[in-house]
Amino acid sequence: MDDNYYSIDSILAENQKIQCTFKVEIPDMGHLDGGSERDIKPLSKMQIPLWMAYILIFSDYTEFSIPAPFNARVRNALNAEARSVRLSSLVGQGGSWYGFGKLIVRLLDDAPADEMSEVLTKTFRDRLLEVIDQAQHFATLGSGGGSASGDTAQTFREGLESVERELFVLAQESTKRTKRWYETTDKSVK
Amino acid sequence: MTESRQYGDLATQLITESRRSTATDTLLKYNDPLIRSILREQRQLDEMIDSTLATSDDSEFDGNNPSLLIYQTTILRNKRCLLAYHSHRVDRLRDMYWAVGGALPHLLSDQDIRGKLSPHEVDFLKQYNSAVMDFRSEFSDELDITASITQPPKDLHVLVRVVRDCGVIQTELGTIDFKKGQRFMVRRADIEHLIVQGYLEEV
Repeated sequence: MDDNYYSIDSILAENQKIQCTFKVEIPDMGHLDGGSERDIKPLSKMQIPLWMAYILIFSDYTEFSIPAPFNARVRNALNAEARSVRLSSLVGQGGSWYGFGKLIVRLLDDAPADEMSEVLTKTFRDRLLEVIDQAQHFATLGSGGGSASGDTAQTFREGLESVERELFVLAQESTKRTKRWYETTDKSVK
Repeated sequence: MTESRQYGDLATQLITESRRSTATDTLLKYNDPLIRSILREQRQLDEMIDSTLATSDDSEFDGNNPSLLIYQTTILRNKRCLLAYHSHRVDRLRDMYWAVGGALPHLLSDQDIRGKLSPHEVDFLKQYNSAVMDFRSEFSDELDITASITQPPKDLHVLVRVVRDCGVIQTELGTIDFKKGQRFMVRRADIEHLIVQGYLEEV
């Protein structure tokens, strides 16, 4: 995912909300998270979308806590076996776990930022092989078969988040095309 | 503004449409009502800023006001969403334009497509078309930049079948009246655009 100003994906990724704890009083802004309070009081907690949270955090009006998809429990699970974590259910339908993580890294300071980025890259590396493996397997099976590969594979596939899903489709398409190319007699440009 | 709606929600709806358009690979109808509502929200936010500034009429005011920051950030966010929505559509329109080999009338006469465009988008296509045509005419005797590049031609001539009636066309062999179901051996350059637009089919 790029940070292009016009990038639709990038805009949608910034809609992810994080928990913010306010340090100052802001009058008439209680509606920011849909709550019924009139004002924002110091120490009150709110779910604020990232695009808004950036500036509030950098201006020192609020503090934030690491969101649930990246908390210690998830990290431990990823450490134990990255392939058994359902990333998709952590960020909701069509959400990008890596994209979200990248945005959080930007909010952190040196050491925690490095640690977080390490978690992201390690998870990606640990899961990538399985993603491509399954994509190629499925491409050769064709659209008909699929259930033969067992439950773990199925669960893993359902747990793919949007970036992995994209890679899955690409790898599948590429395998299909390679297969088609091998099977055609006309080996010229096509 | 209704209190149940949060800042940026409308803009998110707009951007979700763009994503749906990409996912289904279709052009969706230009969402005029939604864009108008977002513009209205922008104006309201602007008024909020003005009134906030008016009430804090302090000569020592150093700009440190979280409310102002929130209004301003929301305005910028909405602006980004609006621009991204339009730029996404313009990209799509350009793709459609090149997919039919630069045949603008063919595109605009399609009622289904026409109904999905805003007046400004029709203007854009017309201007884009004339810019492309201008550029093309400089070397049209050597190269046709609107020709298809996915399948390079192997022959100067091509055998075609007529899929839809397309009237009398001037070719190298004289005028030909293409009627549905007929077959012709013609010079590719003469009828290339008709293949792209789906009137003829290579056999």
